[in-house]
Amino acid sequence: MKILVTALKDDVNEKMDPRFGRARYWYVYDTEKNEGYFIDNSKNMSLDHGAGIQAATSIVDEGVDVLITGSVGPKAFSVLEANNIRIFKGYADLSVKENIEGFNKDELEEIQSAGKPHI
Amino acid sequence: MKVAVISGKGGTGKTTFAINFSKFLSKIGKKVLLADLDVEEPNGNLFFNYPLKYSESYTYIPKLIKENCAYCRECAEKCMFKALAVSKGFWMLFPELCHGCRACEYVCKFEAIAEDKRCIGKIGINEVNNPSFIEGRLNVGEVLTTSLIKDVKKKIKRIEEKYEVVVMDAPPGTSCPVIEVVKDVDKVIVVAEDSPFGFYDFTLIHDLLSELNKDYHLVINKFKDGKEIIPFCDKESINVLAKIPLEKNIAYKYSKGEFALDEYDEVFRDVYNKLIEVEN
Ligand code: SF4
Ligand code: SF4
Repeated sequence: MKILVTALKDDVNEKMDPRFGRARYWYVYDTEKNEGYFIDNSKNMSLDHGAGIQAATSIVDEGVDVLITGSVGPKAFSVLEANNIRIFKGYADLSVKENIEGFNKDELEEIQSAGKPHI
Repeated sequence: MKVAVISGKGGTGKTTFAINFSKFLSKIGKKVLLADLDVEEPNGNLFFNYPLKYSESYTYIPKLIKENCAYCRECAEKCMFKALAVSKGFWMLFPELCHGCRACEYVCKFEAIAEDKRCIGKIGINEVNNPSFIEGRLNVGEVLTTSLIKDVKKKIKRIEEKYEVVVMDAPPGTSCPVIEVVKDVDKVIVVAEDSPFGFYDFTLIHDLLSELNKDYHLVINKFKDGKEIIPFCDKESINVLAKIPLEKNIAYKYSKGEFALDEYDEVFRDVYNKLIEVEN
């Protein structure tokens, strides 16, 4: 299973980025291989619109199963939902690593509907 | 003769004018069609209460032919409106973002996109009465205002020969929907309010029409003294058709959904005569 956490910096000990489409980095963690890698998301960050949809299709391509972030706009949400990607609400004041640990211990809440649109 | 009645902003009395002017023309024996093109909020028929025959208005949307799709994303990349999301084995349209431009279908090399349609509103019509009446009514939350206006205008084209005068009540504002309305009419009447704000809104519509190279005629509503507007008209040589005084009864009758006829016959007769005068 692949878990994706939105991140402010390319360091798992730094905090989660609560933004989804416009997050600076994405950290993808593969539970089977027990290893992770960072993706630079700066090209999406600068999109003035459609960042959410772009981001959602990119993470579908990445083969992600679980997304941990702050909130997801309605369009991105429908793309993720249609691809059976589960979304969990992470804590912006915790690190990327702590958020993954929280998910593993079943402590994160699943997001069942979209947040405010960012258009 | 096709006449568009427009104003920079709502609340200038544009609709009241369009309705009463149409009524007047029918009274003097002209065959008139009034078109309510304020499709986001058509309220012309509140005054007529005609039974309308409705038909639906559609716009193009793309439909995926799954077997053909290579998920190459060309369509999503070329869509100016970011209405498509494509990834491996996944293709999704956001209909509310789609402007029906067909670029996606055009760029697809795999013939994986076919034509589909989506209802954006309806068109209501009554051709029994004089004035006859046609309106566009946009679905709630729909953004394709101009598409629906185009569709109503297409319908008008098919029946306009039967009418001596077609009066089009345009949506308020200075954006695409208004441009769509004034594009191919013979005459444009701007209704402006005699107040500082009214004057400002009027200058916006004046600039727009100058840019479009469109001549127009002015009706000043709620006329008090024309302190700002009259010198402006003199300077720009604008043809003022009428100054309708600020009198309570117009507003009163409007609020009760009645017509402010008779007492304004002279005003409308004058407007009409001046309009044909300029025509000849
Ligand atoms: S361009 Fe055609 S083949 Fe490519 S993703 Fe779009 S629909 Fe599929
Ligand atoms: S028709 Fe135009 S706006 Fe609609 S999805 Fe295709 S490219 Fe985008």
